[in-house]
Amino acid sequence: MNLQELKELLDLFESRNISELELEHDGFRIKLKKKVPEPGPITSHEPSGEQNNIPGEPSKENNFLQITSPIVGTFYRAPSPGAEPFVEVDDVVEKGQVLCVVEAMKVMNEIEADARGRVVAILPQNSQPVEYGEPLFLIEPM
Amino acid sequence: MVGDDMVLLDMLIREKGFISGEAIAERLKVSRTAVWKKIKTLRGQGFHIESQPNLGYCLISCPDKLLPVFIKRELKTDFIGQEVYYYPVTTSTNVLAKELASQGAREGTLVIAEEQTQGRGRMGREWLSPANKNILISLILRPHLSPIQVSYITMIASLSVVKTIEALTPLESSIKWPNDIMIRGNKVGGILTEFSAEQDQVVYVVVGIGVNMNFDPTIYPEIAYSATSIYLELGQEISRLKFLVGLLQEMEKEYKELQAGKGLLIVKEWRNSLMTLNKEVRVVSEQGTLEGMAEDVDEHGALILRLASGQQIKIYTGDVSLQMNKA
Repeated sequence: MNLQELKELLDLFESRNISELELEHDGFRIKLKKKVPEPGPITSHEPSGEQNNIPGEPSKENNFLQITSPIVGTFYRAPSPGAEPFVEVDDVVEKGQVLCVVEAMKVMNEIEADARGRVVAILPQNSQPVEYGEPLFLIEPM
Repeated sequence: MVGDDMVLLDMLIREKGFISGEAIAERLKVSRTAVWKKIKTLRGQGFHIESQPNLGYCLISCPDKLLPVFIKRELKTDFIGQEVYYYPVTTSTNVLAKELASQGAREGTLVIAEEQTQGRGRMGREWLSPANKNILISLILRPHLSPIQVSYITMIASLSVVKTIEALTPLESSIKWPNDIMIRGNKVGGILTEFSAEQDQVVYVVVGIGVNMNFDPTIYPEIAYSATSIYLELGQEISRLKFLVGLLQEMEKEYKELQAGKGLLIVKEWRNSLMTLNKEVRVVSEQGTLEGMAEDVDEHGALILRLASGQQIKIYTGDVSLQMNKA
């Protein structure tokens, strides 16, 4: 493999959505690896993913505030069954506003917004179990 | 109740007979008309005070209420219940306590209601209680705990209720996982803990404690077969004030131990008071129903259930009922 071919390979690797490439050819071996952002479970839940796939644009996700669960428990979107949810997607929330309740052993943890912003995504379903550190909300700070 | 009224009440309670308006006026450094106005206020709160020309005033009886002035006279604690917010009627003591806590109320602040219009159990379920008959309180605590350890607060509250019942009555009570206090299979009390945290550090905890004292739950169809009270079990009423003071003192003792790092000892004690362990149980939650053997609890109080398949799972939420037919 000459220098030109190597350069073309690097450009190709750079421009495509590939994180790792290993190539062996005529006794020549090369391994390429891209530095990827922290793999978070957010990506799989991201409901409005299209806006993030514009090539060359920095991922918009990185600007979102992630609200995670401080405990293992059950996620509730409303203070009681049948009541109005605390927030909906697209709502603008104030710092300190209650977003949800996570319950464990009849201890109710009201989760508040860390900052003023717009609710971009509500990740778990109502009354689903959540793990420690699991993302619950994505907030776009305002 | 302001300082002056406290002193006046104290004088009336200490004095077995009549006490002259002049003596009161002198002590409080107010006019005799002002004294008369204060007496009128006390009467409005349910105090039976007799007045005689030339003799003065005599306290005949106190209302059966958990007034801050009564609590202050009896309570021996450093901080629990030293600051009291008393409401004859309110929506919910937990809601008020959360408001006070977020406004910076100090640790140990106590909210009391004689009657709640929106009393709550778990997930907004109604907590039924007639006026002036039971204990409905919320305490504000600011423990050095991480969110996962807040269940310790529910444990010390449950244990304090069990120990107070034990100290003041011959009744035996136990805890149904995770937060109900039971006597002979029926519910006599419950705990509802709520908290707020920032960056994995608890900012405040509000622990609501409800104990059925001097009412007869069997006259309420909704709870006739699941609830009991101290009165129903004992066949006589007991002093709510005495119970409350005992409960607050016990709570402070347990809380100090928790803050001294004895969390695991508290879990052990709580575990020993659980009626749920080593029994076949049914757990109903939003995720469905599970049946199995309640084998143990983990270090934070989660229930360890052994399913028929042999699989062991941890339960964090749900209503647990005993499978009597399998016991």
